[in-house]
Amino acid sequence: MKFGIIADNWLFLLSAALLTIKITAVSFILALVIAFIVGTLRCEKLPGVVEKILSVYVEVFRGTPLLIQLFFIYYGLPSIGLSIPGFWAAIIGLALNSAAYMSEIVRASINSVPVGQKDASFVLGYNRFQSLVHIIYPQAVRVAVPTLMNSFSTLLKESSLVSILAITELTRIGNLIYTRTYRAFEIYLTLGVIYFIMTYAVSLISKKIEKRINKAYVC
Amino acid sequence: MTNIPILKIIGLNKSFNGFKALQEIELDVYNKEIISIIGPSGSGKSTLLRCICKLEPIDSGRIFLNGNSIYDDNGSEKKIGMVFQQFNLFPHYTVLENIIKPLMTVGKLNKNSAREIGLNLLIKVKLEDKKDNFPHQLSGGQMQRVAIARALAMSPNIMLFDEPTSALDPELSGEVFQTIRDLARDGMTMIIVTHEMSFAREISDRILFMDQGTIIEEGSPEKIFNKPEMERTLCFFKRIHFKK
Repeated sequence: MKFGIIADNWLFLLSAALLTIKITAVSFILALVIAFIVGTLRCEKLPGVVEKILSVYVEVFRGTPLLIQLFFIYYGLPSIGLSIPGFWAAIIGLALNSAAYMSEIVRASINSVPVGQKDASFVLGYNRFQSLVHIIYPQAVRVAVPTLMNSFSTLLKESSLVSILAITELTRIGNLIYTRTYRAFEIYLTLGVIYFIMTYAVSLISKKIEKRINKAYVC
Repeated sequence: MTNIPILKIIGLNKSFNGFKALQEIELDVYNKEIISIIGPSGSGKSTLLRCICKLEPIDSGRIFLNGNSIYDDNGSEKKIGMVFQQFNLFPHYTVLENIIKPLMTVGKLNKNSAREIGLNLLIKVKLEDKKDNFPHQLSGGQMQRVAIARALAMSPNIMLFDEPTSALDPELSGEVFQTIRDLARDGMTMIIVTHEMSFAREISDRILFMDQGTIIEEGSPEKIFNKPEMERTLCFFKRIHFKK
């Protein structure tokens, strides 16, 4: 065992881990925005075309591998004149992919709010937007948060796939150190531990958040 | 009391996928009048209330509040209060917030004036000590009284009650009835859909008996309960074992 190489490269690993967090956070925020828009729209009565477009988006991104989506965005789109820098290709790929799953979480959460809540807000004079923002979302979010935090962990782990877009995030740095040292055991074990620490932190934070938003519901 | 009805319904029809829920409903409600609607399940009582507060679109007919069609959007102010069988309080708001948040969001009141209105209404429904509780910490009867206060906060011209005690134990119904009695004393115009015959008889100026989407018979409580003219009304009372 030569864990000395980890110590020698700790600065690289740290900055790579930070980049992984950055990629994950930015894609997650973007995915949240898309998921709320798509999920909310899919709860409404929409013109047939819009409804079709949204459902095709969700089905396509859920029904194809993320790796293929990343390859397509980074290597495929330039053929039709759309060159996206690696970092943003990664962000867009991860965000669109996660948002497809997350929009379904948002949709299910909105549908879980009893219809009487909508009725009551309507009778009190709330317009649809006010009702959504003040009455429906706060209740839907409470249902959605545990599952959305789960999506965050998934996203964090899936971000390792963007290493193939030559982005020096955690997995790619690990691979680079490996090709220099051939110390697969030490390196990949360390990568695993770092990923685990990050996802475990996410689940601790998620428990905190759940506790907070359930304040109104537990005696 | 003037002779212009506060609420006027003309030729109201409503159907759900071909099923005629309401047929040619005609109704005038005068200021300070208290009307109870009774009748078997599925007779259209609740649907009628839901049409009046625009929760259900109507097929044809007209509904006027203070002489203006409720479908004219010039005065977007909500003047119809509605109380639901399932209370429909907002679970993420405290009792006080349930009353003042709509005032602030819809009525654009500032927090202090909304709070003042809210606290006064809570005193009125005798729940001022529960103002910081969340709905799930209340009994059903208390929840319904908060729901009544919330509807009153919008200063409606008329209050609609859709089976306000059907989700409550008998002993909890009493406190809700008392709140409605207090409103009656204050001169609130009300339409109450209920299965509580003795309450309907006690509080109402007029009783409407509905069946299969039509108003079969209407009149004073004495007339409807003691000498109903229509066979169907009699049958209904027999079925529910209502004793005179």
